[in-house]
Amino acid sequence: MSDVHQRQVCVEAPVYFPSVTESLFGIHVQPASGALGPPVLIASGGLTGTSTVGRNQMFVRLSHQLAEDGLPSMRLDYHGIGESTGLLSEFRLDAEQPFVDDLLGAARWLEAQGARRLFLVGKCFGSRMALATSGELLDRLDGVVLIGAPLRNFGKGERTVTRLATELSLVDYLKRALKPEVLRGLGQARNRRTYTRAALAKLRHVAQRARPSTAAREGANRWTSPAFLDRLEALVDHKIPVVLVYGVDDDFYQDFQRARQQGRLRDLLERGGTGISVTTTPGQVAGFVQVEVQDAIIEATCAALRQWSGGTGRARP
Amino acid sequence: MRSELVSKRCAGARCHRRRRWRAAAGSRSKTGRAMLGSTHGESTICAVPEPSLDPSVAASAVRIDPGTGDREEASYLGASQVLGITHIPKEAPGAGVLICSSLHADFLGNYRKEVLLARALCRRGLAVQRFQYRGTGNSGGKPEDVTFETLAEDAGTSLEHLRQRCGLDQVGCFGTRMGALVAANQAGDVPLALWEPVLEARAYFREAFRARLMRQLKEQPTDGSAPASTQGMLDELRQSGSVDVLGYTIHRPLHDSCTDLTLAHQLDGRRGPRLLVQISKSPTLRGDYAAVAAAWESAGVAVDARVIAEDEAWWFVGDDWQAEEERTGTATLIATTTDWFAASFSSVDARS
Repeated sequence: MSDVHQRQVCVEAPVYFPSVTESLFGIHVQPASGALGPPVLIASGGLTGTSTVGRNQMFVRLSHQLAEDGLPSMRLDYHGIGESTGLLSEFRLDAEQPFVDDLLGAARWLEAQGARRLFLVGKCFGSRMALATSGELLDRLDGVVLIGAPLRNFGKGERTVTRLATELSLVDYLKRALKPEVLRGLGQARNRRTYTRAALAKLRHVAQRARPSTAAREGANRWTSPAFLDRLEALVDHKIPVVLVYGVDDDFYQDFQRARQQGRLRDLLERGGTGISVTTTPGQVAGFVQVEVQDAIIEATCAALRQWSGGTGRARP
Repeated sequence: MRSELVSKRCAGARCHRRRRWRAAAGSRSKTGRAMLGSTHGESTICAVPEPSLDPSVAASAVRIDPGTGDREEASYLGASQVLGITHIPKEAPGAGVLICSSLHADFLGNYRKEVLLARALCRRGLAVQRFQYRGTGNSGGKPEDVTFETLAEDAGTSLEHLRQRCGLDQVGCFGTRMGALVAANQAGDVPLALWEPVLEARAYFREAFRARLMRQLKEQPTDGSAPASTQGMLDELRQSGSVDVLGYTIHRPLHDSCTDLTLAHQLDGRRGPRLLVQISKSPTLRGDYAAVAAAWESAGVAVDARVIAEDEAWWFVGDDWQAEEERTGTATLIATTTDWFAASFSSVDARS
């Protein structure tokens, strides 16, 4: 039996659906009073045991709010996560295809239920996977919301060390590296790996700064993934509206602000016009470690989707 | 509406195609392959819904493992709003296990382990019921209505569903952390396995508040405000009805309902065999666990206490994420627990 919530807001149903080689799990949410717009496919972040729920039921609450606005939604477990089958070795921004397959599987399932168009919402790692998947769905997307989207292709463990490399001066960097607790940490293999990554990130940053012609040529986009820009450009070309949502304290937002000053991202934002907008919330979106930030993100996401669906669920012409 | 969805899904996804299993990106460790069990090799994705045998469950999403024939049924259990996942072995099970999850960050962090445990138990011929408490996970209900009593109620509903669905008399219980208290509440004299059990519920909340303090100290507030103390957070909880711990809302009703809750009290007078597993970097059984195990033994309870080497930071998710299937500690945890349950149920046809 599906679950009709106390406020009669929505009807939720667990589903299994196929991806390329796996059987994935999802929760399909239908507004109790009937859908007023296309479904929202929610791509959550990584590093968690299940991706249907989110910290503090973040994605569950998002689904319920969307249902109140008349929008169905689908949240899913990626392969190897939660109830889904498969083995997920790592969350890598440059190894998208298995996750794209997952989201396409969900999109195909929604299509089999009669959905001809959809929205994509992705958070952090999920925002990049949503962006990667959007390229396969250009003919039926009504909008894309990217929450806390990283511009760079981080490998595991690289995010913090990259931020330290760019934000700390060489002197401060060395002071931190020579702290007694850091030196003591060299006794553990895991710490040695982290310190090595940190040192290499700093060396790369120093080398790039020392080559002014290269830095000038690449401009502020030297940290921006070409894949990110390519996919964003495709959305701009197809006039699919995009909202980027960041927390003002996010390092990803600082990256975005640097990158938008010049180069390809600046050009894309200009070409996109009102079709690409950036919304910020106080605090830090990454990790959703504050409830008030979660609430702000839900509101910002729903506001964008309400605007695009016009409140009546009209499909794009 | 639900049956229409089911029908459409059935027509669209009656997948009798067989595809070669493709290795995921990265290495496929021996541990991973062992934990994947019978799904290694070929994968048929079969999401054919079938009529539910339980009248209180109108329709289920069903998945069948192509290698073993084991079923997974996902459904909301009756009118309870509880999302349940039932794992049913192909051969009629002789016994079952109810898995009681922990809460908040523990729920997310331990999720995949519990899925893998359930599948491993099922491969050994045991039916398994997993569920998500009302007000948590994907279940209905409001988080602010959650109390220990509602947790226990939901466990009872799930236990009964498993019994009726599979026609079982013998159902053991399993719980992790706070879930251990719930499992103990339901256990009676059946086999009971506990991973890192919380011995006193108030310790769980103290740990939560300390986790927030640690984060605040690390972030060193720039507005000059002093970090909140544990007492300050308790005061905040009492005054406003909830407190934010690293993005998880802890509501007062849950906290207050757990104030005097202890594992010893939940197990008072019960004599079923117990597996107590400590998950830690230290190889030595902690003093409090050793004391509890000794007390149980002196009360005539069969106790198996183990230490599994694994570094679990329950309230913190670090950069060191690793798939559960590739963690040696997880493989040991699951093997230890399935072996123990299989041995505990003498009527189980142990498949391996």
